[in-house]
Amino acid sequence: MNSYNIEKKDMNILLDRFLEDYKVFGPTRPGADSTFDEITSIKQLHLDYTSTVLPPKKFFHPPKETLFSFELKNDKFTTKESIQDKKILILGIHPCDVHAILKLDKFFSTDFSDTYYQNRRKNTVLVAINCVEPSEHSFCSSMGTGPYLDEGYDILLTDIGTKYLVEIGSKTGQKLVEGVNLRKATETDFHEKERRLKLMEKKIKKFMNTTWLPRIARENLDHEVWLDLGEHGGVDGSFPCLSCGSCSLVCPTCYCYDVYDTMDLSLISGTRNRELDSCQLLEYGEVALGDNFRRDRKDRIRHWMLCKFGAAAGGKNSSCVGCGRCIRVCPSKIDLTEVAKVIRGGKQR
Amino acid sequence: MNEYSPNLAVIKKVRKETHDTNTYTLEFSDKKLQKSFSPAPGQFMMLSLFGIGESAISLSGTSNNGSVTTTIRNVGSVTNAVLRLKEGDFIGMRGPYGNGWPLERAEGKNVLIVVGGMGIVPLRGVVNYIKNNRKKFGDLEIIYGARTPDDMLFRYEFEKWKQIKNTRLDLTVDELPIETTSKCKIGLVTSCFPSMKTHHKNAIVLVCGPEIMMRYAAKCLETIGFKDQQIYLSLERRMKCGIGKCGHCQIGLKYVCKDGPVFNYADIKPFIHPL
Amino acid sequence: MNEKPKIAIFKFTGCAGCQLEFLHLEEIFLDILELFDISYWVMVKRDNDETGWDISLVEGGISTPEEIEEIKQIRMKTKFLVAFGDCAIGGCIPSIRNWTPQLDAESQVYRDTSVIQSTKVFGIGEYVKVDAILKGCPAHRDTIVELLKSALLEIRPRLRQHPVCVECKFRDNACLITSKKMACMGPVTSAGCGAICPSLGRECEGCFGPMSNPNTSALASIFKDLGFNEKDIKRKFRKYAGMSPEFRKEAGH
Repeated sequence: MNSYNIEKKDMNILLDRFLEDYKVFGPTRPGADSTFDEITSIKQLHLDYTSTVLPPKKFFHPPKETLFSFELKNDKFTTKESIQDKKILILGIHPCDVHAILKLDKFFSTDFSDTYYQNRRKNTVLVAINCVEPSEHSFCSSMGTGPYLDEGYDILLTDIGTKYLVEIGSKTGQKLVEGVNLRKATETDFHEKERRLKLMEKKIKKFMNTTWLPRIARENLDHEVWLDLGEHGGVDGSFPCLSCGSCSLVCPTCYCYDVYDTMDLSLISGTRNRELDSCQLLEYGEVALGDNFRRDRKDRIRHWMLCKFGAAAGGKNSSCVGCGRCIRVCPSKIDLTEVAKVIRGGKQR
Repeated sequence: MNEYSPNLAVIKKVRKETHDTNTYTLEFSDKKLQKSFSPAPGQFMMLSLFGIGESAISLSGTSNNGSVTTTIRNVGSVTNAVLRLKEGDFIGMRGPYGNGWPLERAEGKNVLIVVGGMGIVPLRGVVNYIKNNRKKFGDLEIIYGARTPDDMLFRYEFEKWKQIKNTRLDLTVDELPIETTSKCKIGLVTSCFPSMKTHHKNAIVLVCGPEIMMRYAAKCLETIGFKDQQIYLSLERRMKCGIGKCGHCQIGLKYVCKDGPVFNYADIKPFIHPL
Repeated sequence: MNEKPKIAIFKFTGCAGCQLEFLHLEEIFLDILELFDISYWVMVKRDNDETGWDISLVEGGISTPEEIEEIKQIRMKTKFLVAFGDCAIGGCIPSIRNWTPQLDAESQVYRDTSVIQSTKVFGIGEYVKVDAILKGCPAHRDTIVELLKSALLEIRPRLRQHPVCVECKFRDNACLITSKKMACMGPVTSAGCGAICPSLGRECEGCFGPMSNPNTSALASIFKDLGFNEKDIKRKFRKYAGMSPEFRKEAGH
């Protein structure tokens, strides 16, 4: 595939090209609390962000969505699916998030295909950007999902000083840059990319040993760490879990959702909706007649961690990509990587 | 095709089972769909009542023309609303989902069925299947426990079941009303085990009921010589999708909806015995 | 449809904010009148029918002997009794005075307390059986509509008991505790408001009361770690639901 470079000050040219065909979304604030929002001018774009609150998952598997509407006519219900086919482009996705999307792609297509996810996904162009400044919570290098990307993108940008290196990853990507006056990338550009990414990798301070991790997690269902996290004082400087669900809601690979109907006041029409759910919430494990399969907090936090370690039903498709969002967002300062150390037999401080 | 989209089905018949449970005969409105529809015993359907919600329900039987029966007890919003439906009403239905009972593995073996309460529903199809393919199976023994004799489902079929060759039916209840004429025993299903005819040799056990009942039944069976691999359980979870996407029914590395609802006891043992 | 179900709305010790929230259903108010007969509502009607009701929404806590008598009367004439808002659920803000001796509380307002007949403030559930609760100070209009619709459909209303954090994340908000070091009650507070305050950069005050199974002691330790003193933390838990079993320990018992 082809490669180009573009002066940072000329990025508006590329953005204008994107805006011709797509609604463009990108990080709108610097720092770790950025959000992916609609971008209409280059001034709104902050490609130097370190992380966002919600991952780009929200574009394909949104927090809330309508599956179909229904209406009662002559004693029979008719349904009308609400399929989104808006074309969008997400600009500035980090490698970890691209990997998360690849996992969700697999998850939502195996066995049964999820129409809603697939539809949104196929109408989306991903313009990724390699990380040159990690957030303090990232451990992507341990998970093999960053800090640089070699798959899953339509276009890949890398900050190489005053310029971006622009690498094309798909036909859609190639088509998008045709007609834009970009220079061919030089050998020096690639050397600079190499240099910066090596430097970046050294800046990552968090690690998680993933060797045999799913198996170790499965074999430690009764480890005391779960009780510590759920009810006692927490682990390694953390507080006990609040069961607030934040970790799973900001996780780029968490997929669980709830389905419910709403009827409008006419009582003859309404919608079936789905909403992101979290295994940390008490209601998640409820079944008929008030029974609950994960009533204890320790069971809920254990279930989530197992899922992220690749030891739950989602398998690799729902396991961690090392983006660090759950660590940043946890009011109790619970750190997945520390828990992994403890179940591996490490000492608690 | 959109897997989440329910198909319209019509209620052909309603039969009252107990004060809070009915059996419904259902048929898809779409004739082509109806023709290709052949669920296996133990599989489940997602039933939709528009405006109220969707719920996973077991099938209690299939007939030759492809219509299915389901037996529903009032335990929540959807099931409560189902009980208000009458013949000719329409509902939404999609499926069948899940794996069903391991009937092929049961061939040539003695079959022991241990059920509690609503657990009889997904196993009624197995009893009928064995009746229709009697030569393929060894002896059949059914142990059925309910709260009271009046809570027992399919009572009108018990005589027919007993007449199936080499079949034993053992009934037990938690309590007997004083003025009852019923000859039911009192006790848990496990209390029927001592008088059980099925020996663990060359047998397969199919268990369904409240999880606590299954937990103890499986434990007791273990102590009398049954191997974990011989025991199959059908689990219940509140499924939101039925197709392994919503996450709610996860048990260890499995989804109840996709990998179950019928599991070999050996595979799920650590997860149904809480630590 | 048969006769329209009769609704009554009552007020005890509270601010009438929940009733106002009902009135604020302006755009669908006429639709509601199509489905229900609001037969008793002193705040908005001159003629009120006191013969009995299918649904009673009761706002306010119980703080005098007369109110105890009245709520019992209402219960007798009501098929489905709803504790409408935090005051009716657990006393809410008026119940802050429960933490001081009754005499001290009364003397702060009245010179002669000998004629004052008042009790500690509790929710109506202290005295009568409650069939449903609508959390919030005030209860959110969407939950009111959800409850009324469910009553017509004879199903369980979908009133989620999860924390505000869930709604906050749905809105892509940065966490106020971790990012701004604010003492936000979100992680122990029931959702239903749509995370209004955190979305505007203000910490959650806890006005929807406790969520299901909150870990209050963990949040109190987190607040302490953020540098808040014990008095402030106590006040946070006392403010809206200090009487609730979930918050009572951190509120100072």
